[in-house]
Amino acid sequence: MKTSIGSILSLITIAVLLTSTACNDNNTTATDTYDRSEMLAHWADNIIIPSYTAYTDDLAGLEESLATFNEGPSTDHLAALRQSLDQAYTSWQRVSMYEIGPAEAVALRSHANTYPTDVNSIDAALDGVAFDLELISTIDQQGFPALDYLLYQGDISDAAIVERLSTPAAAAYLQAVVGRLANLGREVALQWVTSYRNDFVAASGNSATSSVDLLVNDIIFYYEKHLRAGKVGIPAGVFSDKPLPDRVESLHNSGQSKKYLKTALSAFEDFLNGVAQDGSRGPSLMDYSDYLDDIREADSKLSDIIRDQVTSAVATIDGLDSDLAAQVENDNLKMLGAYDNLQRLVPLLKIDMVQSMGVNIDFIDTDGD
Amino acid sequence: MATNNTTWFTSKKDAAPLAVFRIFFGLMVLISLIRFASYGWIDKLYIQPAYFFSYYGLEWIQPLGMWTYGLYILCAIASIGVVLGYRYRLSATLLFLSWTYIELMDKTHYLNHYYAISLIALLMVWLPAAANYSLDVSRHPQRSSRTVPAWTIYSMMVMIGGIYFFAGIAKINSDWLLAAQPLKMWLPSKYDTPLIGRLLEHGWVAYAFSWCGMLFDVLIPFCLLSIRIRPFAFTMLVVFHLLTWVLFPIGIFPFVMIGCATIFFSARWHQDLLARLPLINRLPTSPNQYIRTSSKVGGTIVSLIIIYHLVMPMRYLLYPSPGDLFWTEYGFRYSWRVMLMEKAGYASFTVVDRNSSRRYTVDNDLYLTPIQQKQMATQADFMIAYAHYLADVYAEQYDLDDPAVYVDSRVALNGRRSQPYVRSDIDLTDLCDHLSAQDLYYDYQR
Repeated sequence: MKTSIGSILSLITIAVLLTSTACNDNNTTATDTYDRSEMLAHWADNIIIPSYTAYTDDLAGLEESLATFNEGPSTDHLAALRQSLDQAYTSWQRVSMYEIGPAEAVALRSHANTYPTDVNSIDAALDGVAFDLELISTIDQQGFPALDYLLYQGDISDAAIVERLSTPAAAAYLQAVVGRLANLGREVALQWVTSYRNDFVAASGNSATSSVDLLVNDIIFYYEKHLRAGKVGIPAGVFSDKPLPDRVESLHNSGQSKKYLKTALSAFEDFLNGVAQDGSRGPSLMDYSDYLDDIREADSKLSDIIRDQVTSAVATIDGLDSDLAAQVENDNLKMLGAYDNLQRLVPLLKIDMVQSMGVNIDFIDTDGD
Repeated sequence: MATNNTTWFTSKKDAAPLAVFRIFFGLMVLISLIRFASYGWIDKLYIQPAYFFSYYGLEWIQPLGMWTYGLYILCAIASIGVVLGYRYRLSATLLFLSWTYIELMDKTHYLNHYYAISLIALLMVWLPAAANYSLDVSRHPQRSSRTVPAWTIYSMMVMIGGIYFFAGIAKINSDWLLAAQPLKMWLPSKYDTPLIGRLLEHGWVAYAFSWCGMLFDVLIPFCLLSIRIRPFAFTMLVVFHLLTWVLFPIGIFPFVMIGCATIFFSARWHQDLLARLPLINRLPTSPNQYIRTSSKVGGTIVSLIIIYHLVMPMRYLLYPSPGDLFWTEYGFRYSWRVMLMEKAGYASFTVVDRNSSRRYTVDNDLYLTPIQQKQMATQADFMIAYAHYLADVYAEQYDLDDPAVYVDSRVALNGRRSQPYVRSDIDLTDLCDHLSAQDLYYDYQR
């Protein structure tokens, strides 16, 4: 009896001792856990909340410009209003990816930036047909794409646009669109500051509902659907019969479409690298990835591979026309090339990074013994 | 002379172990069905998806729409019949058929646990597990028996022991033993586990878990056979399963295995248990010391099941380059290869019309659920089936005469960086799902 129990016990003990000493020799690193709370706090306090603050400031500027325009409609005031729209649309590109918590609750991205916009319904509203922007069916009649149409309107002169926007119905509609956009943005920003920030940082664990897992899932989804496909792939005709230049972002002022794409990609890159709104740096997904590579004694750094791919994507985008609709019409191969380069980042994020961090995708049983 | 025919194999053993096993097994099936339904998984996995991945040769097995719920109800009723030992043979047969049908509806959800339950259920059909302590005893007292041939109990021991043993053999590979993968990836992310969380970040812990896990699986069947070390072995088994339960999302399976392992315990232990458990101790007991409860046919079928059980896990050796098992997964399923791989993939499909050379990149979200996409992206047989489906969908939607489907795929395996997986230069619609090896993979860089 003693011999058999003893032999099993000693076998196991020997195995544990052998392996532990063998590994202690070449594995002296990483005895400490990565501080995910610190990373989450940096994300919330130095990246996400300041980005929302900049965004809501620009929305306030937009409201002000609209008030000035409504008091005295003129081409000058229209130009100022367009200027404010461009500023807000640009800072939107730096918050769009954080569709988590309060933003997710109000579906901020759908309300702020669903395009192509429903031109016919907007025209009808300008002609006095009643509208209700609270309805879910009206997400494509509001937000930035609606303002883009309202303030540019295709092939008519600025004077004609001013005239069209001067009617009471048009003023009411403009006011409603800008008001809703600004209110939603402020609501989300306020939630972040007052309550969600603490919940976000507190959920530092490793489950499908922890903040790191949720946000990593969300930003990858954003990158794949809204940045790669929405801004580039769909207009380039990657998913359809033929190219669809009328699907670019900011269609009626498409000269800015490349700038918005670049801003979005740069915001995404900054987030990966932990670069704050003010340019300072803090703990990031790439640091976390390096930390994990260290623990596992990986031969190469995943962060280097990801950064190289981002750099390469930025370079191909730099080579595009500032008007992405014109780029699709004149030389779609370049647009497809940009798509391919953005696409190559997807498996690196979705496979290598997610796997390395043990991010949970969905709750379901897996195999085990 | 006739009495000398009784050997260790055919000698008469008390029926209590089989009865306990029957009751426990039926209960666990019932609990797992209820758990599955309560999470809304029937709807999510078998009713919502537009497409289901069939097993080779079993394409006719499909979810039944709303009738799928009926299938679960049937299985639950059968499991209650098994627990009570009511019309036992019929109940066990229905349990086996309905459970197996459910598991074959979509191979996305293949789990060794579920396969184990199917296989055990099939064996149960042919064992006299309701000979005593069952409602059937009062229905047909003349057919009941307090003892059963020893081989009926031994066969279940081989079934349970074999699962552990092959799971252990499968762990004897370089990733598991020399690189401590995939545990080295999984354990650090479990840093918030109570008590042991901090330990899990150390590399040596992954090695210790890997080696102990392998030794445990290989040795435990033999340790359970020995009366002397059984208490210690069973304690280890409980610790082992509770640890896996805490660390990994593997549902109720740890408890299934802990319960199944009691088949190795003495008849006395089982008799005591049956006498003590409320309600269970009111099940009728047999007036007969021994009545023949098993047929020649039954014995033959049991032998065939056991032979299958012992041969099936090793079939991967028949494929060319069995060393690439994790990459190609030829012979991977039905082999108790549990927790061996962290495999993640990404697959992007392009449909090309050969006549017009029109091209479409596929948005997988339109056709597959996230969990289907995850499984599809790491297994070539899924990709081939999906490519055929896409060809049909696109031919209809875009009026294509001759669609070809190509995949651009990458897979990361056990901590290695992602690398190209299925060849992107072959039209997947030219291939069919096949049991033999096909030349469709890029070389696996270790």
